[in-house]
Amino acid sequence: MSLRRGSSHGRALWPLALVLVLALPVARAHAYPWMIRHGYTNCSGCHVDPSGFGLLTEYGRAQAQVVLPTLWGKAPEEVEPTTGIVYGAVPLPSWLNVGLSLRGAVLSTTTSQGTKWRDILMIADLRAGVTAGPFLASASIGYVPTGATLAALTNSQRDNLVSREHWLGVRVVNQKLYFLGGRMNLPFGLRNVEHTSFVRSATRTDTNSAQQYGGQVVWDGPGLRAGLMGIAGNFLLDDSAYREQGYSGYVEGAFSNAFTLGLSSLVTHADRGLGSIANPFVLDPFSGAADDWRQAHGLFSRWHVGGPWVLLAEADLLVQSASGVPRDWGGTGFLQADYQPLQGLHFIFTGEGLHQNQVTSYGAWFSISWFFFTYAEVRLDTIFTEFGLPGGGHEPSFSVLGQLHFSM
Amino acid sequence: MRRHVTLVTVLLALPLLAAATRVTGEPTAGFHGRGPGGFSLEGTTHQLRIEDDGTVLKIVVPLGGLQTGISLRDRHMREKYLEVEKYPDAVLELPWSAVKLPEDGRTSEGTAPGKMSLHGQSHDVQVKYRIARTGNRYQVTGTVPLNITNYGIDVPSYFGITVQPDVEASASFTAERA
Repeated sequence: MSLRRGSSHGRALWPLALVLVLALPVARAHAYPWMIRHGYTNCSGCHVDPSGFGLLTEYGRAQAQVVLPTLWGKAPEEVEPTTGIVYGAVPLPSWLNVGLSLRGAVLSTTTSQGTKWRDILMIADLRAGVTAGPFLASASIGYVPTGATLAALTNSQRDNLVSREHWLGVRVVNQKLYFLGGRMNLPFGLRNVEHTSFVRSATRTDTNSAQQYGGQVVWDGPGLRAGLMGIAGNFLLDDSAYREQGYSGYVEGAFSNAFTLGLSSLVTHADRGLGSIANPFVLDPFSGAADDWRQAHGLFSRWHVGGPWVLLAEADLLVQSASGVPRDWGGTGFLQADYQPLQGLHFIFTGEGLHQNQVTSYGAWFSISWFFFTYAEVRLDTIFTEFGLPGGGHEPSFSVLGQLHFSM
Repeated sequence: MRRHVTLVTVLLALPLLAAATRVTGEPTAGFHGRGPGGFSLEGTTHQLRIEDDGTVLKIVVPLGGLQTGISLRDRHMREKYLEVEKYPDAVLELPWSAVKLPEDGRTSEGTAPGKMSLHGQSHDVQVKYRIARTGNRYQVTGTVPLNITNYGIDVPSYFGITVQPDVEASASFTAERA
């Protein structure tokens, strides 16, 4: 069921895409929880959003040049980062943060019904933000040919303008206490880049398009960070019945600069339930159901085991109920090991599981992510998933996703 | 003649006193600093030695091996702030008389006055310590709050992140004492 109005003017957006492509190199648009390997347990030093993801601060842009890419024989201590955009060619004042992110992909998915190929422009976002004394703001605008409809400003079946984030805020108490308002990522769990992973898709807390409008209080202190957001709804949905209201939050303690443990909780209500996309082989009984209550509660952890190894883990309880639909108790889990044998090159091993709507699915990922040059990443994901089927049995799926990501 | 005998005795005894306490295993020393918000910074080294003349325990930490997890930051720390070539060591002097040594199998904790020398300057400090004893082996952990500006060290500031001047220096090691 489409919640957006249909139109056919999307082709007019191609010039915008062309501009975004020509504006390369562009801004990094992701958070990497494995940055804990450098002792970073908090995100606010590098990201305008204190809970991580998206637009980088001046310090973040510098770190993106020092600690992320392969340096091709250059010693890390010899890097002299620049904080301007376009490889330093365009300087920025320290209070202004600007960037672009472009992520294109080719996806092959093989199931018992055959193999399908798709080319995907995952992200083509322009981001801008301000960090001036106590005031901060962040906004993004971008183009996607398909998907991300929950973040779409326009109402086409294809070729939409999207704005994943736009918010304002103030920070006080030596930048420890934040008050934010607008459209934001939900503060919940790991802010991992794999937005289709079960923990992100089943809890609907991904950074692709699951942002909501609301107000958020963030505490970003030494050893403890927390965020609590009152969700007013996704006002980019035309049909207000599907807008969720409620809360989402987390609290995460850093027990050292190498280990954190966090607790997340989310409860939302909508007059009509949105369909789940976590398991495409299950007809979601809550899709369109009246008086839909959705809950997710869980734990997450980041651990720099030592040397090149980082472990990320999350486990969430899922509860959903609606009028005329039996309450569903489920859960989802995610365990990822990130191995970086040399700077910039990551071998990523992921296992995940989901029990929802009476069926169980599980999957395994093997990914190679290589930041082969400053602001440039190539990534290959191989994903094997056994999707649970109603009534028993599984539908195996094997996906290969190749991505090229330019950012700054 | 008696004076000569006394002098000779002292000279002969000095190496024994100096060797009275020695580090075993891998020691750890470092600092913990904070920036704005939840930004934190830890520097660690496993280079530490102790010098013991029987009256004062000197804990010497060569600063050239301090690592923070990011090598460019380490370089800035060594060259721009600590000026390690000119001031290679941090030295904490602790009089034995101020330290409460535990009995065998016991643990003692306390705060003792000491003297910290860093970046060419020395200041009196308060050392929080914990010592656990097994036979003649002592497991020691200690922390010292410092304000780096008191030692003439510039406050580190890098692309909008300014570290607070108050840091906590720490050390932990196992020593055997004759």
